[in-house]
Amino acid sequence: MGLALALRELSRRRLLLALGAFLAVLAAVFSVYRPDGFALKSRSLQYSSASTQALVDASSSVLGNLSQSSEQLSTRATVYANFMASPAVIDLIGQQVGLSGAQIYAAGPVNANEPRVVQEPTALKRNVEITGETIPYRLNFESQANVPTIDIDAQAPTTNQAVALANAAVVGLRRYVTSLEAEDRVPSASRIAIRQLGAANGAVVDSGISKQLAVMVFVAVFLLWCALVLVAVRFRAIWRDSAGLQQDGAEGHDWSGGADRGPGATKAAEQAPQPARTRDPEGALFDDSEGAPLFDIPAGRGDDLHVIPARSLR
Amino acid sequence: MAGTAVLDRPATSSASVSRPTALQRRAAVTRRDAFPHTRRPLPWLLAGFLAMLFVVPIDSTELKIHLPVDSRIDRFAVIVLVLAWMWLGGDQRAFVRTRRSKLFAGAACVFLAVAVASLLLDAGRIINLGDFQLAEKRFALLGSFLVLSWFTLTALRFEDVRGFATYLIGLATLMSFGMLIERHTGYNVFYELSRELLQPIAKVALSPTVIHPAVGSDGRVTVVGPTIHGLAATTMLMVVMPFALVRVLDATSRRSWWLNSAAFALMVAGAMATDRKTALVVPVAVVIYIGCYRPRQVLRLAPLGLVVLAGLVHVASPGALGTILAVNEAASSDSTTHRVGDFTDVAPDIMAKPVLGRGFGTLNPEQPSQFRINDNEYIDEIWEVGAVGLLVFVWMILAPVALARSAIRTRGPTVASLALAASAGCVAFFVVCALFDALSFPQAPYMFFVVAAMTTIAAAGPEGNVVPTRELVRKLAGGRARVVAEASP
Repeated sequence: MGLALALRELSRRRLLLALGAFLAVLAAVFSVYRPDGFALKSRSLQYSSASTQALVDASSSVLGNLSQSSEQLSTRATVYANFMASPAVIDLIGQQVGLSGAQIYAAGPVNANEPRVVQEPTALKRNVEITGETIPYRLNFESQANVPTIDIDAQAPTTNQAVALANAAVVGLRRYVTSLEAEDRVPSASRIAIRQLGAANGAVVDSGISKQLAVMVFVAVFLLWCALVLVAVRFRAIWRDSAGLQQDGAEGHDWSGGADRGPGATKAAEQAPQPARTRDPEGALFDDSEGAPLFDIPAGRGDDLHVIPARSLR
Repeated sequence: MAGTAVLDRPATSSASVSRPTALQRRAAVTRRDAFPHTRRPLPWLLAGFLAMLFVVPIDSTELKIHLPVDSRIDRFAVIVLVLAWMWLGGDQRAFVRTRRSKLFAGAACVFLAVAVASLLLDAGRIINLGDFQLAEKRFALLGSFLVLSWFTLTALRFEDVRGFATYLIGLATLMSFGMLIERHTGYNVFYELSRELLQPIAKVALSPTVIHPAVGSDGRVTVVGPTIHGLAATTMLMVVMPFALVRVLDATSRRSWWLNSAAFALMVAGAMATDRKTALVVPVAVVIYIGCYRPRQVLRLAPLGLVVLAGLVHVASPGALGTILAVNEAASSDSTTHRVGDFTDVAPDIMAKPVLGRGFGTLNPEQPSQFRINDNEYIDEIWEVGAVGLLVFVWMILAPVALARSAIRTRGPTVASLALAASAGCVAFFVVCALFDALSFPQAPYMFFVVAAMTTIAAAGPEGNVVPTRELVRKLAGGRARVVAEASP
């Protein structure tokens, strides 16, 4: 009934509803597009991710050689995964895909074996993380203990960009390591080889998010508007009623429902019988003074206004 | 003391001996239809939901049917409540038309609006971080809380509240008993029973119970009852505890006094069995709150009550008091150290989004490298929904307490006692929110939203009951007929 009354009230104000719908459409459009001069440009809410793996290997691959241990390489993989998030490597990765290092946000591995309290970020770390939250090009590096591989997860606005970024991360690492080896003139037999275990694969993560967001914004704004209209209508009605009551009061009428106010009114009120406070047989207390009916109902029919039918199932 | 008669046993009055008045007839008719004697299905559905909260580990039970958002059993139960509300005419009991205060419902609506705004106004960043789906799940949970509260507000009448209070005390007592068994034997009856009973339709995870302190987290046992964390179980008991306490204070019969005292003591013992400091802090806060309104009764019972309670808790949960009262260990424990860090380490996030926060439901506890688990719901709220959201959240919790105040002070003993007990439950939740992230465990907010609705109903008294639509239409039609008859020559 309450919902029906509200809907009926709203349906009487079609112009306001139309205005609300227009505002909601406007908000929905601007939630997925941004103004670019006189045109609208997509906010690129949709994003894709891609992943690949890099094997930290020796010149003569350990994968096919039983005499070589992969332990040292596993440790090295963890080290590499950490420094891949450093600006030097990120710059190299950015060059591969035509971005600057500052346009890419990268995070290194987290040791899952550490207690949660240690893993949780400090204020300083959060400061850095917050600055990178709006950057659309993101890289995440993970390494597992005892495995000489680095997992690379890339995120970008399109699938092609995400795949390119993931592939570029391997190339960037390889270039960086190679440049170090060349600089230090490391013998070729002792050099590290970074091998990509297959090209990166990627896909759209949140297809349809723009439509979803637009619908959510439309519904939220429209419902808010409807609520505001109902509140405003109710307030206006109360305001008008209160003005009428105030006028009645100024003319000497008792708008509280009692007798006309006069010199003897207070005394008469004091002498009037107090409202009964009755205790029912099982002890529930009912106070007549607080049980005034909600509506003007003829005597004899309004007595049971607050009575709920005993067999009522609804 | 007068309230006791109202709450616990029938009072004999001279009026009842003589011919019953219209008011008494009305009261008798209404009482016959009050919970648990009612045949109205909506209160019984609510009772079923509450029984599920107290018996089934809802956050460890997934039905074998998949929903788009979540498959937890409570989401299905909430959907059933909504369908029942629509089918059985819940809308005929429109809350808006009643004399019940709209303070709490208004605060809840504003909180929802702020939460939606915090998400949508920063949607780009949230989507970029991949937190949008997580937020959707959290919104589904928030929706469940609000739906339950709305259901309670529209399904219950004032006369039902007394029966529901008794029902809650019964459920909490049973739960405490189960937790004491769990503490002593390591057998979690809630998990095991649910697994057996719900096997055809749901999967119930293993209980995290650990009864050896050396193996448990932070040198404490892990006793969880029907939840996944002892703090959630403690909160459930703490929210119900005031109903028993107020009845103890108001009791005039020995039977009532003993029964409610035993229930209260069992709840304290059950909460203490979790070895959580919350189980000590919250009852103290609740007793202080009730003491503000009933100082004489509380002071009279306090000395004896403390001694008896301490002895009983020691017998029921050996070692629990020692663990909780070990101040030095508590001050240097990992838990306390972590709490101290909460305030400083979340500062960057709060300063970055001070007004509406970083978006409701976007804190992902499964990413420890990015998000802390704050042992304080208020910090979580200012982090997620900003200063505006925090203010509204506090308003939402304190609204029932505020509206109960006048009812406790000015109304008759029936209304006052129920309003006091129910609002004390809200105070318990208010304190709990300062001690851990209460919204992370669904049982705690579910209980709050039910008790807050009960406070609203109790504070309004019998006058707050809604007239069913068909009754109203009949009466309005009668009124209109009279007006027409008077106007006609």
